[in-house]
Amino acid sequence: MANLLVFIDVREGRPTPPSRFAVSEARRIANELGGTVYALLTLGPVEHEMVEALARDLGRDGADRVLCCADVALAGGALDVFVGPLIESVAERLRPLLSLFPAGGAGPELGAPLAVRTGATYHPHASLELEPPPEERRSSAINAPRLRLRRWRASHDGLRSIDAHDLDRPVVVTLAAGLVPGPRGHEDVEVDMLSPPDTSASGAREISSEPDDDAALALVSSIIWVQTPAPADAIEAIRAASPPQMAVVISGVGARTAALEAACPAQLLVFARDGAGVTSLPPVPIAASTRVAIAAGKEIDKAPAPVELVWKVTKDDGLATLAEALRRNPTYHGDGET
Amino acid sequence: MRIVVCVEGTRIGVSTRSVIAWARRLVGAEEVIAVCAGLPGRTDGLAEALALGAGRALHVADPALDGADVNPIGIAMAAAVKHLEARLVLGGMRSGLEGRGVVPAAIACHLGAAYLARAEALEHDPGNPEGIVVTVRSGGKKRRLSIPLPAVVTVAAVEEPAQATKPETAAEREIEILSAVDLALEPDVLAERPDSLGVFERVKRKPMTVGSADQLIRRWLEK
Repeated sequence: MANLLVFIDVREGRPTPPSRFAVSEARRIANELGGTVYALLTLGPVEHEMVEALARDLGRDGADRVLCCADVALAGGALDVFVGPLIESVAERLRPLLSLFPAGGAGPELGAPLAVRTGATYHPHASLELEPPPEERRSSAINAPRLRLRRWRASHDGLRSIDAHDLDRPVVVTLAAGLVPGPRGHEDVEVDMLSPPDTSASGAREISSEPDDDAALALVSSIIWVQTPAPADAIEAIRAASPPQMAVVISGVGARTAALEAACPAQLLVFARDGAGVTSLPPVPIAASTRVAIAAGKEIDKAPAPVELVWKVTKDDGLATLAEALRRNPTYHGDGET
Repeated sequence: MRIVVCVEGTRIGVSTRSVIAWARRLVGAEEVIAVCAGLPGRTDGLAEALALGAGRALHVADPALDGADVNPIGIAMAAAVKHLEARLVLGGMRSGLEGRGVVPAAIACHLGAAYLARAEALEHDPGNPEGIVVTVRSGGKKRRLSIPLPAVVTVAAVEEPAQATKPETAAEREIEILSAVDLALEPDVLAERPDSLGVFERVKRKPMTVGSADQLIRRWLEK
């Protein structure tokens, strides 16, 4: 396999957890199929020490090389009008077979236009699955696994599946917000500083900005979606029991749609008092690998296809019981730590 | 300012319904034109868009667009936008069927327009009639940006999309139809490329039922 390019979303001087997961996924694929994992940083003006610290993080997660462009023109965030020309020029130079974007908003913003400009296939919210080679090739010299990319259709009636080896063009994917499985590489990684692109032609400029209160929601690896009505004390209990990488979202409360559209949790749990109401899933993008569960108060006649687990709640205090279970059971936090 | 709203050929999704409501609020119904590109006769989505309050509806209809990949669709839609002399194109984040959300990016590419995804607010730019102010979330910040036109913007759907009221005149409005020839598109430009969607795998599975909250949490969160 050839090059793999991973776009890195940086917040407060650190790569986001979904970005680190994306690097670790690229490493996993490269280990099996061969190839070089490039991590791309686009930053505003920063100190060299910060770039080196970021590179160490990304090297630990599996990057072979880090490409970094730091310029005031890129300070406006991971938006196509600012960053698109740079990513396109990098993609033209490296010709990556696979470009990966982490959950958190960079994918729909940057991945879709990159795919169009480079003639790539766009496969959002994908899972990367390594399959054994076909039977007839297992004894031959070319017996590497095959990379299969799967995603749910938005209608959730089935999956779209691509065998990367059968394609005559590169693929751009966005991934779920999985957790880093622990170190997969080394801190000692080369950093190439890139010249900033000329973005003046876009004519876009930032007028103002303020902190995004929902920013963390787009990055979480697990979401518990609570359909109302639900007792306030039980909601409080399940929020208190949730680890940092998990968010509890109450349906119909607040316009958090933009943050949810940017999310792609590795686990989604829908809690409903009445199972008959769970005929479709909440408006949260899910990956083919997302583990979807329902906890509901009545018989569930027909669960949507992505649902893998069902708990039929028999008591009125189901949400509180769920909170207790969450407290009792250890949760994986990433980096090999539970 | 004239706005083109990208509409699905068949039943339009929640996301697109929200976009029509947004566009109407911004410029009024008469300046909102619903457009889709596809096989002749497939205009259910456009009829629905008219009923939801779009002022006009245009179908770029050509047999070459049957099952076309995103690139020919983007070319045809961009040609329609130029033909209509629209400066702003709005689309939903993703369609209700495939849900890739890549067509707006293809239109922007072929139109030579700025592209922004997941907008939360759109305003006229008081200091620049050739621009628009867009609010988006990116990199942990909520940003207001001045974007020059032409631009293609996808809109984050609201959780409960507003139901546009059906104008009494909607039923009388006809869907305009243009062919690829009308838009001066060469047939080979729309030539079909190999399918990039991938193979469809229908999923019918019975979920595992667990007996307790502890089992649910353990299985749900296991590595």
